Amino acid sequence: MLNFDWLTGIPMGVAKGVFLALFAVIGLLVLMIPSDYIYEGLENPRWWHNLKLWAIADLVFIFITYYIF
Amino acid sequence: MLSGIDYVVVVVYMVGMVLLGLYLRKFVHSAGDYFLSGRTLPFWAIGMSIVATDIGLMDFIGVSGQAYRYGIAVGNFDWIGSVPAMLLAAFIFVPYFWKAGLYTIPEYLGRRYNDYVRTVASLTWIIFFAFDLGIMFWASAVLLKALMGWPVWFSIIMTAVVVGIYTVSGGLTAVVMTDVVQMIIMYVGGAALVFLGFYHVGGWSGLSDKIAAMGDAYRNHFELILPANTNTPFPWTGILFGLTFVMANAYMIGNQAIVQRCLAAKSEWDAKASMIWGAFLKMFIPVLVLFPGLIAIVIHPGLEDGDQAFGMLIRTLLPPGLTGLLFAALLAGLMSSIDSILNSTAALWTKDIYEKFIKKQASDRHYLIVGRIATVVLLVFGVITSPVSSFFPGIYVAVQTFLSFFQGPIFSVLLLGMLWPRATQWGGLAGLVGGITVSAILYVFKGSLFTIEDPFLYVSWWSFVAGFIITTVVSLMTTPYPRERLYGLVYRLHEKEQGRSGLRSRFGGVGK
Repeated sequence: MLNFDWLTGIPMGVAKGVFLALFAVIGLLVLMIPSDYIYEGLENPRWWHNLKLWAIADLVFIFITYYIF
Repeated sequence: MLSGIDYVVVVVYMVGMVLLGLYLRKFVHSAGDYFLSGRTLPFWAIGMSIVATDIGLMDFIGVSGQAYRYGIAVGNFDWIGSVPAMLLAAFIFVPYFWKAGLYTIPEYLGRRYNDYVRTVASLTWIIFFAFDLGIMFWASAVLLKALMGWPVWFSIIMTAVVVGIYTVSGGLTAVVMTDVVQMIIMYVGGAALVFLGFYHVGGWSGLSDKIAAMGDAYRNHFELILPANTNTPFPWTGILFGLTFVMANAYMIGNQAIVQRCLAAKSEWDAKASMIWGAFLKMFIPVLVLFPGLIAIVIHPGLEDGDQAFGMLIRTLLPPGLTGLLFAALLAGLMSSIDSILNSTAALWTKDIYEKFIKKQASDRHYLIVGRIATVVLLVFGVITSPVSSFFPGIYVAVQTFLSFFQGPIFSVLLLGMLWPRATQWGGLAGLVGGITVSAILYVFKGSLFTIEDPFLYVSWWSFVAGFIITTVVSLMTTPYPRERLYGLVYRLHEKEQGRSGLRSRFGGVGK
């Protein structure tokens, strides 16, 4: 049990899907963060201050990496 | 061996770091300046500093060595082992740490739970960092000896002197600003080696074709996700549960050496943005530290020790001048990690131990002096204890082993502390101590409990689970703090309470 032996039967394609789904879920959670919380600490927020966009860019990059390899 | 031009590059780099540190000394007048840069740092500098701190000389050697043995699966540590955790840190933890005006992460645990939790966490990190310093020094000395024939102790003392001068002088500001320069040097130097390596082996297709032609032993070298029953230390189950869910979060959220610079951000937005910007930069790190290991498989097949791969590649591929630049990059990797550990450990000692238990309410100037003395003492300790790491077979694995002992338990109490108002002070203490105890037991019996080569990922996961369960059970049996006491310490608790009271008053108004 400590070695996760019960997961050895899972096909590698499914395992890869789990990783990709994780990135997608994180992306959805990021999009659900209230906008006022994102901009806290800024006096004159501009569109590029939107940290949701930064986070989604990170996630797209890593999603593609795991999709390829 | 380095040529004349290489020596010039290295000397210019080292003198430049010392001068930058000495220049930044004029901005340090208090403990707040020394440990938190007066809370003036912009996001871009912090993000670059996080990456430079995280990636050290050990990664150049150790990760390329692991890539040589196991393939790109080791890249998980910089991809899935960083990005999700850094986003979690950016949006949930760091803003609350920053708003609380903390110096250290154990300080948060002290406010959220009690001083026992703070002290246990702080002492644990101090002990880890102190020995980690020795490991880093030894790794650098081994490489310098292989490359230049320098005696091990000469390399260690030379590195310690340069880092010591600028870290003691300029505090966190010097640490972060030298990190910025060091990160650029690391990227340029590392990219030069990878570019020449790819040119030598015929590009990406040449590399993958040649490795694929080397037989079944290299079948999984281009697989990021390895089977659960793999003999390598990187089964996908361990990567998902141990690395992604526990070790990465513990490292990016609970590691003082990483998070301290976020606490020094000039605004809450900068604190958040620094982590996300850092995550972006970090995704390119595997290109610099992992690909050399793969390239070395083609150019230097059959090495007994994978950790030799990087050094041999430098000697084979790089012309004079570029060798010096890469050598400076390696030193930059080493120094950027050591300087952060020194400043962070000094902060832990000064704020969590000295100020709390030895001398309360002294002048700010007094704590500045204590911080500087602590930095020097740590440096000397790291130098003296550096040969300890030679007893471990793999440098990188040795560090992970140290980390996995307490990363899981610390993350469990941080997570519950931030997200569950019901977590009590005694629950946190029991979870932390119990989790570390479980880690120790798992390691003592690892031969009979685990089947893979080095089970540090699984130990992290199960010690996290143990810490989580113990904290939860003990919390439910003990009295929690009043909710008002937890405002600013639990994620959006104050906002939710305000929302509820607003609804109650509106509902009451309608009823009347």
